[in-house]
Amino acid sequence: MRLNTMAFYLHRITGVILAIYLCVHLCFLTTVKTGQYSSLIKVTLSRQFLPFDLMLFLIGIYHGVNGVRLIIHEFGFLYRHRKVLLYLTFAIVLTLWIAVAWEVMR
Amino acid sequence: MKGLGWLMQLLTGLALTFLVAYHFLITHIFGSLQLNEVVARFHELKAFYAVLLVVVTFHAFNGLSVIAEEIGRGRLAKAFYVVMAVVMAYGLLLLLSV
Repeated sequence: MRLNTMAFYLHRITGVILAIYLCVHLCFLTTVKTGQYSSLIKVTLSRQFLPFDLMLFLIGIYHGVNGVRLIIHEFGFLYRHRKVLLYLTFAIVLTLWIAVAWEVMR
Repeated sequence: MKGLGWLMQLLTGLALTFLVAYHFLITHIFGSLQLNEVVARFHELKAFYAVLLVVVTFHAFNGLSVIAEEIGRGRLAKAFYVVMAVVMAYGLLLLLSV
């Protein structure tokens, strides 16, 4: 599979995951009203839950940074350098993810 | 995906890079997820969260609708706009009632 095709499918897959997460997030926030928030947030902030959080950050960062790359191309910029921009996207995603993970795990 | 839907997906996507980054910073870096802080943020930043909710819900369900259209599920594509309206209304009601 070509890198560009992989980036396209990854953008779609991460988008679907984030849309599902949006609904789950709203359901979770409902517990602020119903009174179970404090006990639930203890579970989601636990060590065992950290891998899910880190995965969510990676998915969000990828979708965001790759989205900006797509917008740049849609406006007709840097189309001749799309391979370089794709590699740059992966590098930025990885750097941001490591920085965010470092900050959250401190 | 072309036309108004495409333009809106592009603009909301661009806006979300800033909105979500700000949301992340105030919840995970400069703030916490303790109940009293979450409630305080809802009160102090009501307009910000209302905008974030509308923009992110539109982007999510417009995106899902486009995918459904591309795989030939026209009715599902339309249904996603109904779900979008329901989720937006639910989120805004939740925000106003906290």
